[in-house]
Amino acid sequence: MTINRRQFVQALGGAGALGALRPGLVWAQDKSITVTSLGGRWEQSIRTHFAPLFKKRTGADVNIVLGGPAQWTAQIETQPDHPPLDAVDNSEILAVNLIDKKLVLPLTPEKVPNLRDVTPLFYETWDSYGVSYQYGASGIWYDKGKIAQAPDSWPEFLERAGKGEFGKRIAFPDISYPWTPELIWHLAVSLGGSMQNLDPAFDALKRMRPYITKLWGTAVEAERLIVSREAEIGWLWDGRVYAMMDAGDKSLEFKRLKPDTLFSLVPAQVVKGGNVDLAYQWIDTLLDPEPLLSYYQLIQYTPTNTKVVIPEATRSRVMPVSEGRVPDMRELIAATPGIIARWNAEMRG
Amino acid sequence: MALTGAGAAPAAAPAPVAPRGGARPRARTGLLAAPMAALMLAGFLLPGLLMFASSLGAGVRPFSLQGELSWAKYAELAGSAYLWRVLGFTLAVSAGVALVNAVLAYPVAIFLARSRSRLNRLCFLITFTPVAVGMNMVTMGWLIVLGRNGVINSLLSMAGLTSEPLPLVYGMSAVVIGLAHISFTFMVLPIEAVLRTIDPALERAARSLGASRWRTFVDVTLPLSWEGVAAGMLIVFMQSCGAFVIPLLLGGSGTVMLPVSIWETMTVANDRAGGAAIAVALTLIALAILAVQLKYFNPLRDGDGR
Repeated sequence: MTINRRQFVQALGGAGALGALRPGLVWAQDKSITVTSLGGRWEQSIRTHFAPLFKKRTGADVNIVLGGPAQWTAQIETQPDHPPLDAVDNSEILAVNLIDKKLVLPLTPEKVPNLRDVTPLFYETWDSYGVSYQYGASGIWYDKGKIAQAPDSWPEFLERAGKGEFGKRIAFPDISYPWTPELIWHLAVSLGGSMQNLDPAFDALKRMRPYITKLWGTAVEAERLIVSREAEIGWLWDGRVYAMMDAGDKSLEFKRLKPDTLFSLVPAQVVKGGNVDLAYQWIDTLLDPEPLLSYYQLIQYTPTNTKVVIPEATRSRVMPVSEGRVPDMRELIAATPGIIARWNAEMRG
Repeated sequence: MALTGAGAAPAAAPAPVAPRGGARPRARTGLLAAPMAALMLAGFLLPGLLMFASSLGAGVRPFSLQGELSWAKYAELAGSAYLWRVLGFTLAVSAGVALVNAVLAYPVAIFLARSRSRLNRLCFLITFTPVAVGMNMVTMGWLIVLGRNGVINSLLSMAGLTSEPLPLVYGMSAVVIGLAHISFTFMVLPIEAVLRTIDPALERAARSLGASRWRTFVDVTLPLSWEGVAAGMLIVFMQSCGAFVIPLLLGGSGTVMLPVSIWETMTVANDRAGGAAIAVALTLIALAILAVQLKYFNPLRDGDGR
């Protein structure tokens, strides 16, 4: 059933007019740029590593809007003529949304010179309308004191977990976690399935379900499960686990499993209608080897600029790009509602 | 000279004196409410309307709504067995939390309203701690208490009562405990406020006529304080219906509540219209329950405040 749009607009009356009272976010100005960041260590890195270099090169200040990709894309979509953000660190999926709505601009080596030193996968995934300046790799973390023999492959991990070999001590993401749909795809592919055939993943997860101590919804929650040792083995991105290991957790270990690893990417995009020139320079700064190295040392996610020299002490941790996998984002977007429905029915039923 | 005696005409009743300034006091009262009215307009009504527009599939932009409007998301919502189950669970848990809280809060409210003990202030302080420390700290606290390696399991293990940690967290009981704790203050205060208005002479009269303490409570105190209980239960129920952090962190996969579903629909499925439709449905349910409360329990409905 549809309703008359004119009537609806009239009914809302002053609501639209009040909507013109745009949120008090900082707008693009010549002497400043508005960018985004997750909170915590990410914000710290943006403020201390990237922003000073950007200021030094352009003379412009950097305003940081904290939050998450869902919030930022909504802000851009609702104010396309006066976007409140000049550049956005997006999620892999929502980056495609902005591309399809023609709200972001293409990146070229002329406008972003550091792009020449980035492996094409990290911008071709978004048809050059976004570039990930770092990547995380999926794997398992485990307590070395409890898990004597860690699995080597995803099929082995899922099989042993489903048999209860790790006890009810497994931490695994819930469907509340935005990366779970692509994790399910990755597990399905590792078990011989595909985006069109996710049965192998769901079958394995259902067998594992009784042994999961908690299906977590946020990565911070996953970290808490590790710290409290409510779980002894689980799935997570490498950077978060390495940061915890470096913080002093001696019995914690991280392992990438065969045959390959899922990438976690953060595509940075230039917002159309914003302070475009400065936004291109901001993206170039995000790809600059100097702040990227500092970023890596703090966050532990691997820089995509091949000119960054990873310190010898942690070089073995870095996953070669050739071992990483990333789904076709448009296929994933199409499959996600079905994945959620299936999860609700089979994992929560 | 004053007229007296049987033949004297009765003195005319004094004409009611209009308050100085006529209707101005009421206007002034209205003005005093204006800041809050403006806040509600900007912070609740307008976002609510925009959320409703989003649920119809509109791209909301200043001065305009983009795209075709449709009830399709509401039809999807109505046809989703999973969301009906989540809705039922949300309402049941919220009602349960309100009930549990009422039972737990009533004795505390009586103590606060009637006792002259020096412990009264301490009790007030404890009553306010959930509000003072906030939702996140309360949740983290319960994770520490109820966790596998938490306080309770450690004590049970040390006492030799259990060989394996009990599954106290990541389930419905943990969610109910967390929600009951965080909303405890909002249950105690309305009951305590109403109890203070009850004339103790009524209870003394019942006792003097031979009623036991329990009978006095059931027949006199409880009915007279019912509006406070109802107000508290309504606040707790609505708070619990909208809870996100506690069900997410203390709950498990079988304890998903509607706000978590809204989050999943918006951030994982990237279905803003679908998430908005669930949010509108939840808001309407809460408003309907509020309307019932106002109709049957509003203490001002028969009084001067009308």
